[in-house]
Amino acid sequence: MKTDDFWRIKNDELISRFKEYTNEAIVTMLWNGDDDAWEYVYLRAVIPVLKSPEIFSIMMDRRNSISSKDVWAMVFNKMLAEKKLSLYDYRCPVVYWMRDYVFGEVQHFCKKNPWPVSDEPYLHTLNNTKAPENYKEEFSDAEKCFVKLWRTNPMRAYVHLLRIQEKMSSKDIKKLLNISSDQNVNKYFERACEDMRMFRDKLEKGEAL
Amino acid sequence: MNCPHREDLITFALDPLHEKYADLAGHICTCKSCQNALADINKIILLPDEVTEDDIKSVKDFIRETKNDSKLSLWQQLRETVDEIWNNLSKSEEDTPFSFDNILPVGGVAAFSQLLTGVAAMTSPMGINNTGSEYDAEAVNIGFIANCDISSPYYWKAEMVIPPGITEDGVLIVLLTDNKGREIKNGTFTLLGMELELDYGIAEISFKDFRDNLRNTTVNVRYPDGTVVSGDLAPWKYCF
Repeated sequence: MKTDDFWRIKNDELISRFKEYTNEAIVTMLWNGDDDAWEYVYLRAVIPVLKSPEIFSIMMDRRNSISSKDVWAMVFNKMLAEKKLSLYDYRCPVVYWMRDYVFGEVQHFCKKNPWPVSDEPYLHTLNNTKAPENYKEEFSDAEKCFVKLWRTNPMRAYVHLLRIQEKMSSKDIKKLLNISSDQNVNKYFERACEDMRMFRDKLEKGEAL
Repeated sequence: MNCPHREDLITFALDPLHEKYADLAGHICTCKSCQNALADINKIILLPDEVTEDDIKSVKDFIRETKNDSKLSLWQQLRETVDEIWNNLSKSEEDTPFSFDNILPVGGVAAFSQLLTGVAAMTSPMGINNTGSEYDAEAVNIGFIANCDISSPYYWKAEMVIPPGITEDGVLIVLLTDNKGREIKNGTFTLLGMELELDYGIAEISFKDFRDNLRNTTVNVRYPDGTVVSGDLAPWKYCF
């Protein structure tokens, strides 16, 4: 067996074993400082975040550098010594909660430098001392149409939301929702727009949705 | 609808295509802060899970090294906390001295629940600080755990409190339980290198001995069948 295969098999074994554990069991193991549980966090939360194109480009722009092991050690100390793990509320898979936490921490580390970088709006940097404006708009009709669309066809509605509100590319939507091709994503979006227009027309005519 | 809990948003983003999420999706559609949160969450969901040989190879050794460093710093924190209490003893002695006689029934050993209630009663709500070892001028909770899997029949956990107003001659009581929370009736508990006999889950050590031996980090339990299971200072949140 090649060494590469050996490590890959060990990694796959660890991940499939932890997939069977409940969140409660994993959290208990983390509190107890279990080696495997913390390796799982390293492989599923720390490594993916540091390999994300966004974090990589921020680090390149800022000339920041932080190793995966430094991040892991920071997470280990924050979670146990500072008891951040007690903030986990068991409402989602713990590994994604941890990944979300690591993503935030690494972004925070990168943004300690106040200068904006190419991939980041000026609004989000420390150079902008003005607080973002708190505005509220009435979207009640749009919201009604969207909720109706969701009840009719959640896939179309979510593609619409990801495209319009999240400005996500077809490629990412395809990956996120396991859609077979970019063209199909576009079809979902077009049909969602047609449905939304139809619902809006109904509302304008005073008809019930 | 109010903004959802971030963890609920993660659960939604992982498997969104259900009718039950219609109201939540409607809210996200009109709420800028939820849209931003969802954008971040979708980013973390889309992250690649692939790891290389280099990522995996030395991770076990590194985890052990970091854990040891972290434990060393916990021991250091404990030493500093105990020294601080020790240095303030003269001030405490001017107040009413603390005695476990006040909370233990005469001529016997208190039941665990009585004892814990008693310890809790001796500390203000602020005093139970739920930390592995932390001094807040009221009470200090300290925990040790076995270096073995929690499912092992030899797993143990030791809990003790340095109560407020402890004196130089004061006695600290250590409560030892197994993985089901039952007291470990017999055996020897070695704390800071000192062998303490277990009597229905309870071991006693004077505060002076505890303070004087804090450089020795040997902690273990010897069971009646001869099995010795070592342990260490617990870094986790401690709940009484």
